[in-house]
Amino acid sequence: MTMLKFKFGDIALANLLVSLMSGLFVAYQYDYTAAYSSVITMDNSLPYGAFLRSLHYYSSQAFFLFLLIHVGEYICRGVHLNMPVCSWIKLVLTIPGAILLLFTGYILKGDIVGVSAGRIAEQLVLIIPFIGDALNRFFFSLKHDGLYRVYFNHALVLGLLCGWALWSHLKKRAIKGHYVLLCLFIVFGICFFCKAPLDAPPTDAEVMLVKGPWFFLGVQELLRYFSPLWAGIVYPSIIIVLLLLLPVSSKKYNGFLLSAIMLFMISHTFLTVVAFLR
Amino acid sequence: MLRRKFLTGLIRWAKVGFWGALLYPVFAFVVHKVPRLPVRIRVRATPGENDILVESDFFLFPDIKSPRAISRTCTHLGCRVNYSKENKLFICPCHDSRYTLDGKVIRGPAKKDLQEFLVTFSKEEGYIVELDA
Repeated sequence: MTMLKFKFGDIALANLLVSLMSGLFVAYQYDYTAAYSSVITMDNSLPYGAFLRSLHYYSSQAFFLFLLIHVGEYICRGVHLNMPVCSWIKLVLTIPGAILLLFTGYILKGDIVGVSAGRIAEQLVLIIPFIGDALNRFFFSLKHDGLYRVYFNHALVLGLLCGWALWSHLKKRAIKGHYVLLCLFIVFGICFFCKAPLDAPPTDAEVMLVKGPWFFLGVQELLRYFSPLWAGIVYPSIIIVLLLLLPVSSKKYNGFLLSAIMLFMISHTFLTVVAFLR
Repeated sequence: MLRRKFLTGLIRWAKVGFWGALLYPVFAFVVHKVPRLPVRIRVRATPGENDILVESDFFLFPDIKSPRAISRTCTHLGCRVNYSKENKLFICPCHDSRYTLDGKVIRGPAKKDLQEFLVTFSKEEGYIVELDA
């Protein structure tokens, strides 16, 4: 239980701030009309380009990881039970917002993984009944507009939406604790020794297996066996719906919801491992 | 009491209507799709030199009499399929759907065959492939 005394939210927030700052600098040299070549140039030709891109990459990954741990920590402590439903809904909706931020970042790399991830995301969103086309036009529209909308959403819209959802949670919050500094120190250290990954160019015709981003691997695996609607839309939505229902359910059903969340996490971890080992 | 409840409800719905009237035009503007013309791609290739030319969006079978262009977009979820010389198949690297060189699906999860594009050949221009808009 001593682990719970760590403020994982503070670590997540510190990483988010580093990610935002580094993203701002990366945006100066990034060109969405020639995504892959601009990333290659950044990595190999620009002074400190590889470091700044790595910093953006690893701090974003750390933000997402600690965000998930922070949500788990809240549920373990039962904070959601004493929180206004509206505030809880806003906080839960930052999870798909953060996933979209990470996912659009992967697409913007412009390598074979990014391009494939983008194409899959576009097709999955289009499958959603009634609103799929509008959602795709809003978030991706890769086939029609290239990377423009994805870039615009990654750099501005999604950040603003997440900021709005998190505002009441974060305002007047000061980041404290030596462990936050230690965590940032580790992230900076990783950036010095380990360059952010970049896969083969999108036109590489030799690649016979593409693995998506780590948080998408489970869904990618499931998409091999089930229809895109069930595997790509319904399955990942389950966890969000369960989290949304937590504060409004009675105590009797709270245990059931928590068991369902655990079951989802186990199944997703299993699928991710299977996909990783391919 | 009933009148107060009614008026409160009315004001609430008026707020929803106000925001809806404000946001709908913005939403309609953002999601509107501006029509695009079909894309024509010119490929300069010597007939008979290669069996299959791998372009960004299609595979071209350069034959003067009956040239064919088959889409590289997997019919499952849109990944770009690749050509496996060993297996003489088109394989999707995302979910392992497999197609024959005619574009016929032989292993899922894809259910539909690969799309075929219109392609013409002239000595002056080479191969012209017309992609969808």
